[in-house]
Amino acid sequence: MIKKLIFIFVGITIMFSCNSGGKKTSSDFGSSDSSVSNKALPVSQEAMEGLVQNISSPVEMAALIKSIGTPFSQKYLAPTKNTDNYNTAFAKAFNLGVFGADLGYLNMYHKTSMVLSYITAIKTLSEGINVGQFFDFTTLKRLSTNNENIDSLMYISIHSFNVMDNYLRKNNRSNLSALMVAGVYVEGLYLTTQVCKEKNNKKLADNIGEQKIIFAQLILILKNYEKEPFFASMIKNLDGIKKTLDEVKITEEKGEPKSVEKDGMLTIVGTSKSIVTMSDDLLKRIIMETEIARNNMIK
Amino acid sequence: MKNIKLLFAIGFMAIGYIANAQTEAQKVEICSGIAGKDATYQKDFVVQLPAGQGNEKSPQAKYSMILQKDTKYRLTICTDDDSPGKGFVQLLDTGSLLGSSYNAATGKEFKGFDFDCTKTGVYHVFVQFQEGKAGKAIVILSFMKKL
Repeated sequence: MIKKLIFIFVGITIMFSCNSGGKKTSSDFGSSDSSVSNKALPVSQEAMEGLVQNISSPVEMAALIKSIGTPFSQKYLAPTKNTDNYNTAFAKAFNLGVFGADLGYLNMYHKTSMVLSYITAIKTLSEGINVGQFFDFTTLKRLSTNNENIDSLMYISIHSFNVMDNYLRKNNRSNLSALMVAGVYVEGLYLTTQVCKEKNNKKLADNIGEQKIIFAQLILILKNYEKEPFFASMIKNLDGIKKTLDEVKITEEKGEPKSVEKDGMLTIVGTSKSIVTMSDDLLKRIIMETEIARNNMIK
Repeated sequence: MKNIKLLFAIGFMAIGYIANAQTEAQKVEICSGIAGKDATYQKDFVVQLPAGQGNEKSPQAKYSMILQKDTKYRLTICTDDDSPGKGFVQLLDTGSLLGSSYNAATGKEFKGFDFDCTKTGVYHVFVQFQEGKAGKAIVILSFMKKL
């Protein structure tokens, strides 16, 4: 009797846990956690809690590209056929981020017909690091195949990534969370630089130069784990980008913010400025280094 | 018999805990909707704070985030229905206050505010509850548009 009750409670608990991200398939639990690095990371865990959020945003990156009138191009995207090559938890986490950035780009351009192969790849990789239960594949598939409600598609995509990220951080797997963030960031930088390579645009160039600030934060996160060979190798791989971004000069002008109230809505307008100075040659080198580093990591 | 009662208790606690987690996800979705149709959800912060003790400073939740130049963001706060205190959100740039959804001097409050960012950098979001009361709230960071 007791055994039966235990069985029922465990069953109910699993059923509810799995439901938090939408409908799930049994394959969400297909792989053992032994394939994932679960080493305790006390220092890194603490550091991760205090570190900055929103380092990489596929939405902002894609919106910037779209705002300058760049048409959609599939050639910028990471190929999903490589998914089976990612056979370590670290490679899976990084490329999960890469595909997350690509999904943001597809969503921004409403390319719902192409979304399916990316959400399938994301599903595979997220299951590979045991966070598949948080990726609402079924709903995303329905939304993309029926070409319905882009806002929901966008919300569920971003929210799923946030939930996966939070779960990893809270379960002593913040190293994988760091890789996901790195994946989204590197792919976002790659997309921006590739567009800039073809379309000389001041806004885009400034944004690339300003990555000096954000890139420094990313390296700070990755350095928490540099004892792991995968991280050490990634930091080395990103060194070319770091060196070129270090040459960018950013000067700041402080200004007092202004408050504007209109129709019951408050807007704070920043007046501080950051001015980016970099030569065309430096921009070209940043683009080249990003291309080399990103292509190395998605093989 | 004792074991069965214990199992029931554990089971109900587990279900209660999980059900609460689900509700939290729904609350995030609702709050994201309150941010508006033109707002694209980026991040959520679920905040639960105890009441301030005596003369101590009111408890605060602090988050750091990167905001990028030439971008309009929106911060929206949704206080839980059963929260004793009403939450408010503040945005700071290296220690100086940029904006707040609540002005303690005038008592004026907003569901959040927009921020037209003109400088890429690390910004800080503080969340607390009016009069230092305990409370629970959700803060949503949304992307609005490139400026």
